[in-house]
Amino acid sequence: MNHGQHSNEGRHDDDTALSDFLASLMDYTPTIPDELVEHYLAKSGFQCPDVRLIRLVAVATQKFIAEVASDALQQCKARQSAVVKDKRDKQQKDKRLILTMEDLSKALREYGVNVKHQEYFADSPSTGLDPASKED
Amino acid sequence: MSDGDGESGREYEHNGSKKKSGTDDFAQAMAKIAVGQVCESVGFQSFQQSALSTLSDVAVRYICDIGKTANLYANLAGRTECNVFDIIQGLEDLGSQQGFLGASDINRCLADSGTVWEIIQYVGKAEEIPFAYSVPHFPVVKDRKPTPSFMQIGEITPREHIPPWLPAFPDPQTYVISPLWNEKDRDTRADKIEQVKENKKVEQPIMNLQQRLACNGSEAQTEVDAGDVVKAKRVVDSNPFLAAPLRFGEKEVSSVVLPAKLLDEAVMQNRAVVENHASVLETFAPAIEVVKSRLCDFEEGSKRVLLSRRPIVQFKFGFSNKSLATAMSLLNEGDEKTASWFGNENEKDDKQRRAEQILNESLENPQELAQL
Repeated sequence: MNHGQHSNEGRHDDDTALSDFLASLMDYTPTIPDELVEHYLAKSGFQCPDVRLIRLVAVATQKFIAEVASDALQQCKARQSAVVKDKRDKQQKDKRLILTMEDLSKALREYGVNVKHQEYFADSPSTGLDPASKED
Repeated sequence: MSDGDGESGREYEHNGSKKKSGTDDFAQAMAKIAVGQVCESVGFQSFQQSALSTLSDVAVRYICDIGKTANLYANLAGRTECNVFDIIQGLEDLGSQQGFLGASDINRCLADSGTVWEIIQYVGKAEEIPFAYSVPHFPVVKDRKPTPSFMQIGEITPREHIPPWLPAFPDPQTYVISPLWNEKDRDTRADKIEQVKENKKVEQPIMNLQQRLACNGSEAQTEVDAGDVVKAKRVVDSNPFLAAPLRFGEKEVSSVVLPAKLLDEAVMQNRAVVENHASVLETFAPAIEVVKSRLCDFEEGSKRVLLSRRPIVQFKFGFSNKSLATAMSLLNEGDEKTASWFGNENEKDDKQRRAEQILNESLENPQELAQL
């Protein structure tokens, strides 16, 4: 993977790989909309008219969020498998994969974000249980 | 992630707090939807509201941090516009906590950065999920029509030292004292129309100013405030929860006078309590009897003794038709008096007298009620 010590040809390949990737971003629509990224980038002083760079940031952010979310998912699954051993009867209910603050804070801690669930912050107890309220 | 993002973000908002929160709400709502979509693609089926908002907040901060570091590196290189390498360097900075391929190599080329490699892999792997809604470009910037400059109008500046690119002066009659109209001379309709037109010219900037103030919310706020005060007063009157807190030791006193019947009941209850506790306070038992008997005595005595020493609240007492309040005020006024009564009518020893005193004190409560 480390192409740093390759010959000039290798480096040339890297350049083309990068520019190819950037070119391919023109056709790729990241989940995070360009407008949103543009807005926040502009807020932080970033100036660039190139859509590809904004897409690059969008893709990077999406990757970051996806990583955090998949970590949280692992936490959630691990927690559920621990719970299910005790309560067989609640298995059906617990099988729903719900992104909870508990799992999220554990996942985020590995990425250097310290989030603590507010002790007395009450999410509505029905959160995540009603399929109708599920966000898409 | 640093905590300074929010503050730095605020610096770029010149439009006042109201507008800022509006655009931010919209952006945050969009970030929530996007993050929700990403989570769904990972495999989550549902969210806790707080977790979703936290994660979307983290995403927003991530974007802002990339922007800031990229901008920093661009400025470091003496540029104002960022390019790919600034962004890649920013990504590497943010990813340095997890580490990436080739991070240890100082002399590596940014083009084959491990972070970019990972992103390329991710893009190849992850399925493409477009954002659920079509998003308009925001924030919407209303373009105001600026006042045309001297040059645009084609006027020559009134003085030499005024450069022609400055906005033109308003018409002189709007700021020079408006002339008094001589009605006798020229009382034609055309003149009046002219006058109205010129008045309009004067009013226009004032109107604009007012509108702008209203937009900024300063004037609107004052109006609302005035309304709010009245409303708040009304609310305080009606809502017990908004009433001013009582000081320590103060008691809440309702302005409504209790009906005499209720007071009677209260007194009765109080008395009943005293009687119930008689078994506990065995020493008081004779005293209670004494009080009872005295009250009975008092029935006859009230006709003889003039008792209007105090402003007296008249109310009926259950078992006797005579007013108890008068009796009790009398009791409180002078313990010696009661003592003398006892001395006259029944010969009591000191112990009983003391018990009597304590009982009187306990009977003061109903009297207080009566006075309220």
